[in-house]
Amino acid sequence: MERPSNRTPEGIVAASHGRRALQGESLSQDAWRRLKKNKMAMAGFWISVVMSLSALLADVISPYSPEEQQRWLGALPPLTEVLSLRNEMRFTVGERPTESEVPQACADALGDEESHELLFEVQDEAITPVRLVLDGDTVESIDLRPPGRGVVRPDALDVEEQDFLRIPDTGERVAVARIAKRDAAPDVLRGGEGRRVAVLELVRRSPEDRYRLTVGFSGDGTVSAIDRAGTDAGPSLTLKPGYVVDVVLDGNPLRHTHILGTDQEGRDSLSRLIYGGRISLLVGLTATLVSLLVGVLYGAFSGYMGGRIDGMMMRIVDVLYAIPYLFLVILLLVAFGRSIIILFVALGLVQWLTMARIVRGQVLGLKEKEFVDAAVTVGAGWWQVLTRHLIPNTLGVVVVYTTLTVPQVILQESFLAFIGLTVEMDGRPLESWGALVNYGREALGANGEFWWLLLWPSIAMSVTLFSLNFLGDGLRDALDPQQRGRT
Amino acid sequence: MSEQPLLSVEDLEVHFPIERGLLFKRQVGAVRAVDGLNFTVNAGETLGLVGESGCGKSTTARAIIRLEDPTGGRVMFDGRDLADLSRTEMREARQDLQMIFQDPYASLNPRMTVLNLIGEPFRNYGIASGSELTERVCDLLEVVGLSASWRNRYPHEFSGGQRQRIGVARALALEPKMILCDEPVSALDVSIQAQVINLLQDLQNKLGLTYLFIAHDLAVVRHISDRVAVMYLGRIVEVAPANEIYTKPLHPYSVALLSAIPIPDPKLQRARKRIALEGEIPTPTMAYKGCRFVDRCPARIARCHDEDPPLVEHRPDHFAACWVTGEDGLPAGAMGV
Ligand SMILES: Nc1ncnc2c1ncn2[C@@H]1O[C@H](COP(=O)(O)OP(=O)(O)OP(=O)(O)O)[C@@H](O)[C@H]1O
Ligand SMILES: [Mg+2]
Repeated sequence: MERPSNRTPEGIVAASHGRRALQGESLSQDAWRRLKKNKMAMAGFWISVVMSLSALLADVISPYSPEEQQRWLGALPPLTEVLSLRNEMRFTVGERPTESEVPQACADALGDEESHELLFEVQDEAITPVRLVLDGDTVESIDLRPPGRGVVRPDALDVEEQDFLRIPDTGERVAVARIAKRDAAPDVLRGGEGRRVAVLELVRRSPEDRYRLTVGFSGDGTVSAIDRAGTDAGPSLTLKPGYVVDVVLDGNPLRHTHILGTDQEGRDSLSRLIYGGRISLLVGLTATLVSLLVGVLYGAFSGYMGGRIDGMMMRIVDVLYAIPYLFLVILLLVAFGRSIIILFVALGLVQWLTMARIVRGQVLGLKEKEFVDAAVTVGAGWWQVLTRHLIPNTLGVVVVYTTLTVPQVILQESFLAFIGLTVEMDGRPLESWGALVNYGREALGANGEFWWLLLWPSIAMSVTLFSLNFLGDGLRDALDPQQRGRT
Repeated sequence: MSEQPLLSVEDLEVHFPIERGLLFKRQVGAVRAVDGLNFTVNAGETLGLVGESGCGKSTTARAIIRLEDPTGGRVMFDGRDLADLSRTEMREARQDLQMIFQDPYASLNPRMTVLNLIGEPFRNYGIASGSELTERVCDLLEVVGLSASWRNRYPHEFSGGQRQRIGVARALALEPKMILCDEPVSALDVSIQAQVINLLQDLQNKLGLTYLFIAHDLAVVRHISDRVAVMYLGRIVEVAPANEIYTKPLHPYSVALLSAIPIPDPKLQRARKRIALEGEIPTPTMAYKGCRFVDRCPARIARCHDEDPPLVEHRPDHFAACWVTGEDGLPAGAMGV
């Protein structure tokens, strides 16, 4: 950047310059150049950009729907691998095994004449969703046992009541399975009249695990189909009571990993985090914009007018300041419904007060500057003075205050969500980071077993708040006119 | 004077109220920044207005162009009383009356490019826009000796002298009849002062401008002024043709001011006695019964305490407000020399 220095000979105009315009460096370009030298601020800047982008592109980058419940998964810790019903694998149902082919463990169970057991030896890949369509009476028991462990006693399981299977003797939740209740099950899973559907999804905890699944049923029920979940196509097998079938599953089932785990309803934590960020940032930005628009204009006008008008306008601000804002916001949310629009308005209405004061203070100083008089002298009206001369010169402070307001608003919204005042849109709750933190706190468990439910939203929120604050501080330094031109 | 003067300031008064009280303001006094000011400026001439810091020079200029509302008196400009105009009428009148400001750093909006700064008057009065505006701004830049290629730069990229040229270009944009120059060079280096003053003189010759040229010492205005008015505490104490005030000053205050100008000849400089004015520069908050200068005046007589001296034409075109002085100046020894 070539600058004319004080030593440039006055009035000497290089003829070669002609009328081609040289580009000058504006104050904002200068500020940006200095901001780039501030590492913390730039880190804050880029993190804020990434956060904003992820909020903007939530629909694209989020691996799952944040609302899709897979309740049979339960709360899975981070990096758990799951085999899903979306599995495209084809099951090969083994031929009726001969007596000798029945594994030993099954043979034990066969002794019980009352129950007819279907035994799946899940080979190699231990996690397998299987859909059983059972004709006839109720499923009496589902027995799940990991290799080398004791047999789960059928009576220890109450399948109708419980969604999750636990191994009673250890209390450990090694795998989860669920019997979809007939009415609750989606159509594809419904077996039709007089049929029972059991959807079982097994979760592998370690590669060595091999599970044996035994389904017992009573009466003259038959297993009419054992097939890939979700379709009625594929191999099926009708069994008569007393038959024991060894189902061999081969091929590689589709696996997916919940990087940040799932919550207790089996919703993907990462997806919920991304969508939560969208709500938090949206609330933060929109409320800040409201405060910007109202606060800057109000403050600038008040400061420029001065005297009586200024006094009155600022007394109004003082009065509004005195109202406990949280009370106001809660009242508004309760009175007008928990709409997100109300939240924007409510938070923005509180924030603009400070903005108005800051801008007014700036304008009070600026309007005494000679360039304002100069503008009046060359015919600028009050609107031009305000918009062309005063407000642009407050922008430095406004930008700084804005970057500091966004995290403040995010925090306030989180607080509201934390005390349970989540907003809704189209009847669905919009869960921000604050709501997720609240959920995580409630779900944490006595020993913090479900730590990840609290940790992720807390980290996301802290990092974002830190970033915005660092960015704001950096901007304040960069826009400081005292520092202008320095490196 | 045969013709009507372009600007005629009559008994101009600008008092700033002094208020006390937090909630209920009451006026406890007034700063009499300008208090009964009279002078005229003829078309095409330059009137130099000099006086100490705080004597009300800027306030005078600001009151003329209505950046400050006068509390009394008349400002006849081109046949109209500016003090009487409404805001919208004044806005129109400003097309003929412009101002150059004291501080070249504070008088240019730091967020605007030179193009927008100089183009602003064209926009405000709907005179030009788009490429025509750019063209006219470029012309103006060249008129004041700046390169048109610098039009997209910002004020902070220019030196003080260059900025003041931008200020001059802006004042010229509306092709005014008269420009009020409020100490346009006092913030500049001495070497650059002369260049800006020369520029102003060139422009005057080319465009037939009329100047009110404000400065705080007599040395600066000597060069450019046709006539010089000396101001003290909101009043004019002496008006004279420029060369006469330097050679034959009438008012004791002018004599003291002149003695403060260094003379290039060291012999003469040593021989001359500098008249140091005793006392502080008084504050313009109190009302005066007699002459305002009386407390600091070495030549004062009893009458000065009680009676306010009028501005009297002692010699042709040479006015002074002093009881002591006469056609031949102050009596010998009056200044204590
Ligand atoms: N807005 C105002 N309110 C109150 N007092 C003012 C105001 N503007 C100026 N004054 C006072 O009026 C007096 C004259 O000020 P003015 O700026 O006209 O002086 P000046 O002759 O231009 O001085 P300088 O040479 O320093 O520029 C000063 O005492 C100043 O304090
Ligand atoms: Mg001044």
